[in-house]
Amino acid sequence: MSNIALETMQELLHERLGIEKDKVTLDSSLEDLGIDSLMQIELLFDFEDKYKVKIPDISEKPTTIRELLAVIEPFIPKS
Amino acid sequence: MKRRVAITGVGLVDPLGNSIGSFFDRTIRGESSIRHYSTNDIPVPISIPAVYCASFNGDEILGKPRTISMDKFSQMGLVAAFDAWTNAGFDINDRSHKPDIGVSWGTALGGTRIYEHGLKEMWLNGRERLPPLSVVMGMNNACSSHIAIQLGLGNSSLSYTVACSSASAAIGEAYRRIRDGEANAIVAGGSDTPLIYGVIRAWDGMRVLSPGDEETSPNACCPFDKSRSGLVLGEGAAALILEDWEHAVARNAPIIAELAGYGANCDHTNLVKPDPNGQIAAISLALNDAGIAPKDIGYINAHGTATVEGDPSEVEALRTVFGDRAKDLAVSSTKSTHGHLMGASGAIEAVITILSIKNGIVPPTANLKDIDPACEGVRHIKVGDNNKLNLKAAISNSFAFGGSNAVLVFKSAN
Repeated sequence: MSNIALETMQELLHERLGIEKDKVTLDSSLEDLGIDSLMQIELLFDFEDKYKVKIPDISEKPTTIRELLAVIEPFIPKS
Repeated sequence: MKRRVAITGVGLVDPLGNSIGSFFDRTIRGESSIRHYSTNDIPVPISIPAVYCASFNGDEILGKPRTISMDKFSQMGLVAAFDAWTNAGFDINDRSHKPDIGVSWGTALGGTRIYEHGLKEMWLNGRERLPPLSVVMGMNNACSSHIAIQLGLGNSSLSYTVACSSASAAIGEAYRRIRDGEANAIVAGGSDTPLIYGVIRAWDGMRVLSPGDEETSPNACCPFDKSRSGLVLGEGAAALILEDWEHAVARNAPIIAELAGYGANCDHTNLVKPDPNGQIAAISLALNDAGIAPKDIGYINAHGTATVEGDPSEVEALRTVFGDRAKDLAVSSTKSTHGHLMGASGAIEAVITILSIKNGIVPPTANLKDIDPACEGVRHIKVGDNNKLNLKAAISNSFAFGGSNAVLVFKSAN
């Protein structure tokens, strides 16, 4: 998992939900962070917007930041 | 057996960012919150007199995780609802399931702001898709839903869109649910944020917005005056806690006033032209529902938008309903202080009417100096007039585009 993906997620969650960046780790539970299915889609949109890419719909139901980023990461730049 | 409906809490978003008490005091003094407001929108910015809640910051008041999925009209509504809920002696941190308490909310525009933002992004910035939260932020029942979720209100979450009568209809329909035993308490009110570019332009296109500049904007709205030149848009929210009388007494809640009657009907004649006959019928329905004679009504908080056609129609209706007593009937429109809050206007005016009864003092029509002869025949309260009245009961009128009328009758709790 790249640092860029995690750092972007930390920035987005801080900006959107006011969550401190150090509270967001790869193993953080989405439920504990208050990220429901609607918010997950909103975050995909934010990543699309930031990196000007298109990310397909989520077919598996992610439960952690790691699983959510696994959907996103293939579509974002490596550096 | 019909149940009595108590008002046990009131709350609102004060345009100047102060308390409800400060808002009411300014209203009683006839002090205008109307200022010159300029949009920075493309392609052509517009400046109008308006009531803009400049200091309102939903993120700061409600906290960011909570506001992420909330348009401004929902944020303002939730703040007003929390204010009223606390005022009624309830705890905003108690989110336990309450199957006997509901929400009844009015809004004319709902989340129009979020849709306009989306359209701009698509057409001006080439965006292909919109944020998925746009749907739930924009829906007209969003505010009602947020209030229900935040307070655990499982009885009902109903939203009413009846243009300028929206909040009065929401309050009146809530009153009926409690009166008929469907609910023990309901958070009722309304919120609207009409200072949106497309909305302003549309109202401007109708040529019913009063003009004004930096200096003249505070005095731009002059209901019932010969010089009146139209309405002034305002944003905001207000809420009431309506409660079964016995339920309120059992929990030792403070009873501020009673909501005693509600009349609603439709002119079915014209989309925009008010019909005095419809208004007469609506006021009469409300009085009959309350079981109150016209002689016991001491004050009318008029719809009084300061449009050329609307004001004389309303006064004609009052003259007809109140007959010989009309000339002694205290009447004022408070829209010249807080602006026209569209779907929320009935809620903020209900709060003012209730506090007038409680405090024995009524607000003036700010900026009213030279009464239009077509608006004569009632006792207009102007700034400086004796406005201390021992009120048994008072009425708040709301008359909407589309011909939908909603009239509320409030009684003293004593």
